[in-house]
Amino acid sequence: MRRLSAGSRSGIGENTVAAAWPARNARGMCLGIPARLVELDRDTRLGTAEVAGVRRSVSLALCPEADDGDWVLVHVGFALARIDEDEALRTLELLQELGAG
Amino acid sequence: MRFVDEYRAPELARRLRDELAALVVPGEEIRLMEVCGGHTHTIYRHGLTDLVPPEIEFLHGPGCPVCVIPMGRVDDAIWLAEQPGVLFTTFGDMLRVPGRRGSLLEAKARGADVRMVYSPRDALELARRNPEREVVFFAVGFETTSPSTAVTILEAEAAGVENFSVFCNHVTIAPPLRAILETGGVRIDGFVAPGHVSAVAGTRPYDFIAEEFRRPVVVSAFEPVDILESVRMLVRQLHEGRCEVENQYTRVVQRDGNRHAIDAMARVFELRDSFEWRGLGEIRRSAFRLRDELAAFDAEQRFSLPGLRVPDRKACQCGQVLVGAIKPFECKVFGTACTPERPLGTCMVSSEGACAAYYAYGRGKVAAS
Repeated sequence: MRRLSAGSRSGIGENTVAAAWPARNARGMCLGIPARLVELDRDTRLGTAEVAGVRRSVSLALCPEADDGDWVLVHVGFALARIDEDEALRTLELLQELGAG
Repeated sequence: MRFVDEYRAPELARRLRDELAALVVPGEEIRLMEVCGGHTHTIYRHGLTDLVPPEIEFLHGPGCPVCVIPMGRVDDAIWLAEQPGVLFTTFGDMLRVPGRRGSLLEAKARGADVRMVYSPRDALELARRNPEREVVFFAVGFETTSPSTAVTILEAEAAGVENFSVFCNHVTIAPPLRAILETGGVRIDGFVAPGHVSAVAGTRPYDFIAEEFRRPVVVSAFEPVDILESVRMLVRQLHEGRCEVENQYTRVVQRDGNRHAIDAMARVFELRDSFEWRGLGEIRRSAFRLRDELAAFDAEQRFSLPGLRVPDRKACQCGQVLVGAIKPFECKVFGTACTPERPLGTCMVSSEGACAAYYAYGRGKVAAS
């Protein structure tokens, strides 16, 4: 498992993604945000996910198969699906563009 | 027009553009509805309308969860927020949606305790930390969002949290599409179906479009090249006389959707007989309410909401924008009386609204043409 921060390979501006991630204004309600699980508590089905160095608590109730180190698509604090790393980085780039718009 | 070189995968975009140009028969008219507001945003942001052959026209659909909430429900939300002891929580997108007496943001300015949350879980956490307050969560969204509300309610029930309730405005994507097709006022040749709604609900909800209405459907991811590929798949279906539900977003979407999400929704929600959609009117079995056994968590049961129906503002043509009957710039008040700073209609409020997307990215083109 490569331990890349989301921004390191794709050249994503960390500030923009970090702003979209806690998303106080929940920009783009239909969009999931890719994040990497960095901690996982199997009993509570809660994890910690990270994008561009920003960490947030994420529920795995809808995606119990996700494992530590996996990339997941996060929507309003819930992981919806596992995704591969390439998909995650591409989507982060798209979000970067939306954030810039 | 934006240059293809700006895309992340310019080679692929160029190839898809050329393939589409070769595929389309000069002079034919192909009208495709992209259902999801996220797709609308990508289409305008990347100038896809200029990249595809002129024979292809994008119609923007009703898949913007903020845009479809009717004025009466916004008024109810404001009423709830202004009740003594209530701590009202909402996604930021809903804050500026206009009701009859202004928006939630204005209610907050008048003294109501309105707080933005990122997740329904944050609302539940506020309830735990503020046991003396009545915490209400303003739940909006399609199938992408409703399972998260469902899991949060189940968590509140399991933990015995007694001061938490949900004002449920969750809607489901298929009924408005059926309504648009049955009304028949707008010719639509095919549908670009939403990616993340389908990650939850799967592709089966669109089967009726292919089977009953004989229109092709392609579930699409969100990148410009994804949308171009979906358009190519739709044009192929049309030319080959096929009407199928195809999946371009196979890397995330499965035919049966997310079983955990569907189970959680089934445990918590049931369909309402009818629900009013902004601009579209009442649509049967198009929205969710909490099941009776969870009435304690249902703000509509805990409070005596006014529940008044409020007609849309006459000048606002969001209803026609939401069914693809007019383009945003064809609305009489677009960019004049209705702007993102002072929105009259919901389509100008949400970043997923067609009017907001067009205002942000498309105005120059209109002015120049």
